[in-house]
Amino acid sequence: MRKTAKPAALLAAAVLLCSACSRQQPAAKSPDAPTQMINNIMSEAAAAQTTAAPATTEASSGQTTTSADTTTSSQGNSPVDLDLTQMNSTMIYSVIYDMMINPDNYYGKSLIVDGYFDTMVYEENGPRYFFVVVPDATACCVQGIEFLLPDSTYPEDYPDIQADIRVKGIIDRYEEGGQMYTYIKADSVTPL
Amino acid sequence: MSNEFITKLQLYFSYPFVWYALIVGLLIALCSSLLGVTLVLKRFSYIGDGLSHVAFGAMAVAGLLGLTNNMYVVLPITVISAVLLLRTGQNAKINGDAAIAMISVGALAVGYMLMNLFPSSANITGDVCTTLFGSTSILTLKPEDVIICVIMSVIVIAVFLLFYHKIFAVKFDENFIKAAGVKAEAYNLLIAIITALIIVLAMNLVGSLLISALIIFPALSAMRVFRSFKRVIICSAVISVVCAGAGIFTSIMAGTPVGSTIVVTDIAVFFIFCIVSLFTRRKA
Repeated sequence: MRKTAKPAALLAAAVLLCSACSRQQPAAKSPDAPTQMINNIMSEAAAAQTTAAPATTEASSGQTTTSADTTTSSQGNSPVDLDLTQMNSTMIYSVIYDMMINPDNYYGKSLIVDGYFDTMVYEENGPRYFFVVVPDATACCVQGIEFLLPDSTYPEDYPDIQADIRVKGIIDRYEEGGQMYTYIKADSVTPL
Repeated sequence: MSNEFITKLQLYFSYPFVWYALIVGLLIALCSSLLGVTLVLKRFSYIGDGLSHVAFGAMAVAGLLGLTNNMYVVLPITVISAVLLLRTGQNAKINGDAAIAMISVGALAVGYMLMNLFPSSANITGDVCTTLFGSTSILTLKPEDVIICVIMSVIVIAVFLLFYHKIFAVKFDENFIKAAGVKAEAYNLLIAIITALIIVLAMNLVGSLLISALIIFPALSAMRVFRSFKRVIICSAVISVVCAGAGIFTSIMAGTPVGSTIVVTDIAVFFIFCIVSLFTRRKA
């Protein structure tokens, strides 16, 4: 896992991905949208003590994990501390929000969460960030949490943007710039 | 099936924020029901709606100022608006309903414009949605939010209990109470301030568009069956608390939006009480 130096704005935005109302919004797919989104939510995210995960880059190398492989592993019977797939959208949204506000209660716990996939790049040739995004019951607000799939390459090992995915992994953190950041250290990312 | 339900119930209620939502929701419901009877009787049912729109505008201003706790801006603006609405309502030049409509739509428009011109986040639509409909904000409360809500609720309930007789008198015969030497304006002002407090509190629960429902439905339901002020107040409080509890519970378990679920429960109870009133009137 490579920890890249990045501005606080990016770190703050990486987890609390408050995108616009619906997943069909064209701006979300625009190449410039992520940067603008990050800049705009910087203050809000920082105030909420949100967290971010280390990013992976498109140039990351090593053995890739295919979707088929991860699907198999995600279907395993190993016990999971937080199985958000068994919750409704209201509770998933609320739990992820709580995870951002009170991360100490969640570190080290295994997690499975369903959502849709999104990714953003803060600056040209900069690290790429990957998110699993969960809308609330009214579908006007979304809560995103960043995940990192080790030894993976984008886009080969990742689903299409806004495709429904299931992420399984461990909630982890790291410190950078005096702040703690939270992310999912993913074991698998499975298209649904 | 039942085991699965109980397991899910235990899981959900293991999260502190669910308890926070329940505590705050029940307190807000209790406060709004106490005030609701007063406002309905005074034919000020729509003041809640107007003030909630003012609060929406004030939240936009707070966002513009970059305040992390928007309560410092929202509460004073809403209280001032409540006082102005009350005074303007007594002015012959602008009728009470016209004043409410004017301030209501004006604040809504200004608030939305400010949010768009000076966005505090990229999620303008989400911000607007959350403010108008509550979204899941009741499930994202922090302990300090709960403490503020408890303190304000205690103030509202205490004021209502302390001035119960005066409020009762002001509602039913304001001219008589004035003739008796009681300062009715002061009590109207008190009611306006309490109304503003409850509006600001309730925005977290049901959002600004649905606050009126929280205020008027329990009162109207109670009035279908009971006739005395005291009984209506008690029944209204019970209905409001039960509906809020049931609404929050349903919302958590079924994944429905919290605010609208509470209001739909209130509407259902209103129709039940309408049916009950048909039988009770026949007996009478």
